[in-house]
Amino acid sequence: MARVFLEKVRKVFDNKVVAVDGLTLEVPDRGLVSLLGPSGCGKTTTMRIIAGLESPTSGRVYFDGQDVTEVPPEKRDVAMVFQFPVIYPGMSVYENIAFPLVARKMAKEEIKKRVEEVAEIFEITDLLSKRTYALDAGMKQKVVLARTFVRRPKVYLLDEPLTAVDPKTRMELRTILKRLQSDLGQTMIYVTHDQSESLTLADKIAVMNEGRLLQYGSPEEVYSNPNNTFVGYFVGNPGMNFINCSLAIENNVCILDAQDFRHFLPEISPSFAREIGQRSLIVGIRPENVEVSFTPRENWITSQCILSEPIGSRVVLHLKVGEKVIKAKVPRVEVEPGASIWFHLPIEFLKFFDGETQEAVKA
Amino acid sequence: MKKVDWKRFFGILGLVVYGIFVLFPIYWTINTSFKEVGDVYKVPPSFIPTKFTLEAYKFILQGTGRLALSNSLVVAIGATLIAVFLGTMASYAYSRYPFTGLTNEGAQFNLLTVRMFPPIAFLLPIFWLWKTLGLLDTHFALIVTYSAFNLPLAVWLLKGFMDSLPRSIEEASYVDGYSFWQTARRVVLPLIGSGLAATVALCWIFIWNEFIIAYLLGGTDVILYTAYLPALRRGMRIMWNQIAALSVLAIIPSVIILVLFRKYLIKIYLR
Ligand SMILES: Nc1ncnc2c1ncn2[C@@H]1O[C@H](COP(=O)(O)OP(=O)(O)OP(=O)(O)O)[C@@H](O)[C@H]1O
Ligand SMILES: [Mg+2]
Repeated sequence: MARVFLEKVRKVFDNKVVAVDGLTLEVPDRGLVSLLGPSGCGKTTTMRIIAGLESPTSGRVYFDGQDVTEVPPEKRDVAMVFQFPVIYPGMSVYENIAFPLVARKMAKEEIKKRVEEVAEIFEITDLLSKRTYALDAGMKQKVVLARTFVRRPKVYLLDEPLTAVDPKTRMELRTILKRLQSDLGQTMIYVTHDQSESLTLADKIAVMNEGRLLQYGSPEEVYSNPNNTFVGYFVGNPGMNFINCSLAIENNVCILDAQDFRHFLPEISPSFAREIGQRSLIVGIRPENVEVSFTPRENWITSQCILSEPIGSRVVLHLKVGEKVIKAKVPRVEVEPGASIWFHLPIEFLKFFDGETQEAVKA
Repeated sequence: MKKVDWKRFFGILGLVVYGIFVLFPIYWTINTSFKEVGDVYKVPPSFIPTKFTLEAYKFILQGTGRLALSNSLVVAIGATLIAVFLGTMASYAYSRYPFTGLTNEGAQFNLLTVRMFPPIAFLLPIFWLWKTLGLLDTHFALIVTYSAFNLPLAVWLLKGFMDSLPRSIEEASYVDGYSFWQTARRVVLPLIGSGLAATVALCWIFIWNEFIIAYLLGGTDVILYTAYLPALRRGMRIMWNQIAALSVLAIIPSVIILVLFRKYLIKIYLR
């Protein structure tokens, strides 16, 4: 167990590709932090720097306050699941799982006991004596995970451990991982580009884009208070609605003017509106917070439903107003395409972002 | 009437012809080695010795022949081991690290140029080199020269095997707690085992059968069997039965190696 601290870590490949750009991140002892971001944002590179497989161009890595930037991987005591599962070919499943323990010169009986324990957890006991080349992707990933969890390192690094497996195994493994994490209470860093995985597993989420850390906080925080439009768009399924708008004041009432529609916001004080309303704004709202009605309501916005898209037990309605399309996530209903729908944007869920910088505007 | 499978028929016929073509010289060598020298020159030649004798073998194994064979063994084993050992290290570097000021292909090509010239083109300077050092006609000179000539082959063959080994396997091993050398021994070497075996076999064959280097750099104090073969004559008479006996003895180590390593050698062609 250890607290992992990255200080202004920067990694440049071939003098031109900036993979990680000034990343400062503290992973608390026993915490499960998820690195979340789109493809190519530097997640894998960050993990490799923590493991010691890549040395940062600048910046430092600390484990429990100790500078380990120059320590080679075999001395760092971390366990890592690579993005593309690595099985040692030519070794049996048992030998694969035992391999890291053998490195630590553990007694044979102890190794046997531990391997059997972990095989039990991942339900691969009957594979132990098998060779590895015939295993399918799901089985391989279980072997890799077993090899990772057979020991108690300072930190577990899991780079998209569930991406390469079929959906059924994924569900199974997600449950096992969650249980393991709560049983073991170990420091764990979990890379994913699947925001729902992040939201369900992690204590804290670090959202990255283009090598930078955009926001670091609890799932609730990241979900309901995105720092900027990218986080709002990337977290959530589907992501936030964004509407370019400005704030106007008529008869001392604040009005959100989105060109295609106007929305009264009596709750916003005119002074605040005056303060932030001068620049171009983006207002964001989560689809699940958009209220809809199938009958006309006073002051609600009229729209046309152009598409309804089921997601799980719910349905996402694409509502067209003028040129804009707003998504609303509502309980399952039958909607004819082209039907008129009235919607409303509750003030408590509206987030304002600066039109230029895309950063959140703090009220 | 049963239909004749012509494709199969001609396939087998072809193999039989090829087999005779390859095996006949070997059969003839063995046949000759058991003859008396007078018998060898008889016309028409006999397909089995008219008088079966071990004379030729006795001569070879008692005299300089035995010395030549044991010199050859020492030199070939030494040079093969050195070429394969250095080749393993070098091929790893070629496969894993970039070269400064040179592309990897360029660096590899440079190495192969040694094998593009006929060896005789290099041999005079090399002869003078060893002569100046006073090391002409020593095991050392022969071993060093042979390993140098075969190193490019070893590197070239082994690099292919190294390249086919994903780097992530080594990285996983580092993270699992093994140092570079431990990883080399426990992960990399077992996985290129067949490549090593094939390289050993090929280097062995090149070194064991080599004549010109053996003839120029050795020959008096350290005589290799290939250099001793042409010396087997008495006056104007070539002792074909003794030459055949020495050849039969010389085939044995190569046969053993090829039989042991044949399944790895096939991998080179299948790759
Ligand atoms: N060894 C390398 N040499 C050059 N560029 C690299 C190297 N490794 C990564 N990169 C580049 O660095 C950037 C970040 O890559 P990285 O693999 O860390 O992204 P990622 O967030 O893990 O993406 P993914 O979700 O696709 O796995 C990418 O633009 C990638 O092309
Ligand atoms: Mg990655």
